[in-house]
Amino acid sequence: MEVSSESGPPTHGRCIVKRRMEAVERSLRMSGCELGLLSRPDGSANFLQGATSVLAGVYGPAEIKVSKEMHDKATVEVMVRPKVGLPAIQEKSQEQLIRETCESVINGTLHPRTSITIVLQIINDDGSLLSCCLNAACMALIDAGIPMRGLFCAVTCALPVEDLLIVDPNLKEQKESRAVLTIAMESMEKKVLTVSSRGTYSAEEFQQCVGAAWVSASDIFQFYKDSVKRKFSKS
Amino acid sequence: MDDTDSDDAVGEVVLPGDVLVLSSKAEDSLPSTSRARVVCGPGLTPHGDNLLVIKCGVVKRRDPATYWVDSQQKRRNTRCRAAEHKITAGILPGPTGTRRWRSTEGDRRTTTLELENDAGLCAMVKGDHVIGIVIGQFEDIFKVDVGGSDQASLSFLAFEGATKKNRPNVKVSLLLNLVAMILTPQNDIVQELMNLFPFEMVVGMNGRIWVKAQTMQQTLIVASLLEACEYLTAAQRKETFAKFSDSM
Repeated sequence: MEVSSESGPPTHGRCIVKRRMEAVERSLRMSGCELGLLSRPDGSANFLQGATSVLAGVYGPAEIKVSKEMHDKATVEVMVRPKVGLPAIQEKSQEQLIRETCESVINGTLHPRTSITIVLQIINDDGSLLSCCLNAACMALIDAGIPMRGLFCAVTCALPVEDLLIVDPNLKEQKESRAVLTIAMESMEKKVLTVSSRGTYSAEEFQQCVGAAWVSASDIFQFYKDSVKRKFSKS
Repeated sequence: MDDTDSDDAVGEVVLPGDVLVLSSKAEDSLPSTSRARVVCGPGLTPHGDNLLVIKCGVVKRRDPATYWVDSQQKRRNTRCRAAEHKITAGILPGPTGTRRWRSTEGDRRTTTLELENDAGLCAMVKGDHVIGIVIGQFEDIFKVDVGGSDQASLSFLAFEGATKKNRPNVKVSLLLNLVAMILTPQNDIVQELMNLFPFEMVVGMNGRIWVKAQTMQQTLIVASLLEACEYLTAAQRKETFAKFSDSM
């Protein structure tokens, strides 16, 4: 896998790895990221994985209602806005997952009694939506200058048939799979932060998904770094 | 994520999670008695013997061993306006539009300036040394406006020599340095200002500067000069200062 930072949108992620990792057929989904494109929030990012696109905005550290205030740390709130309609149960469950992932890296004790609000607007869903949301949230947090212990990234893996693992699947591949896993990792020790899964898979397959996510995570972190460098070179 | 030598990292873009390894070569060249104390500025936090980056930005360094991350953080000014009527507010014309200044009623010789970036006040974090204005007194605490998202509360026992019986005499709209040790900038601007006339100055991490000179007029001169400096080059600044010292 390679990341091109100089010209064109950089790529990361998509690889198809056969079981036992001997046969490697890797194709990458094009990916792009734009930072600070919104003026009202303190930080914003538009993250693209293939045709999947999520726009994230971060507000904070800001004032908070007394009822939600925590005296020793910042309160993290996440709002997921679907492309059409109002947030439903699925979005609420995603919000909780994203919030807990973000809380684990945000250094909230530096801003006690404040709120950090992350708003994620889904622009288009072409598979791997949850990982795209998490990656967009991380980039927006970086852009907002929220103190963090480290970064995190998420990788979605799909298991369509025996002996096949697709990293960063599109919507069609995701629908045809018997299991879909989203794995979030932090950058300091490359440890797993969050796992969200649907469908049936064996313990061995789970380990392979974590392995594939681990490989892709380095590329995503490099992509983060390139995006941030580009932002600072502009200004 | 990345371990970089702290001196090599200066001027480079870093991301949260990066570790700056304090260079051993610099320490070896010094005798152990005079080893420089490393000062860890905004965006960095101690991490064992090294520094951990917690904000994205460009690493900056100042001798002997002060490191910080210059991030482009923007934060709106969400200051409590409840005490505005107690504080004399005014407008000073600046080179790029107007800027607010506020002075306390109690002592007409002092002025606070609020430094704002494009989006508002600089964001401060726990542990920063700040300048605050008392906006209210409750049973045994003072509410202090430090220009942050919420008011700070300060126990009256925090004052030197205060006991339960001997309450400190702190009036509403009084200025406070919330921590005894404050930042004392020793840069060219301050040095040149010192040559004009004597004044006292305190800089807080929340972007407030407190100035006191012999007269209100002199205080305001210092305040407007400081504000003007933001948009002047070193040469223009020297010229302006020279003009001032001639006219006085």
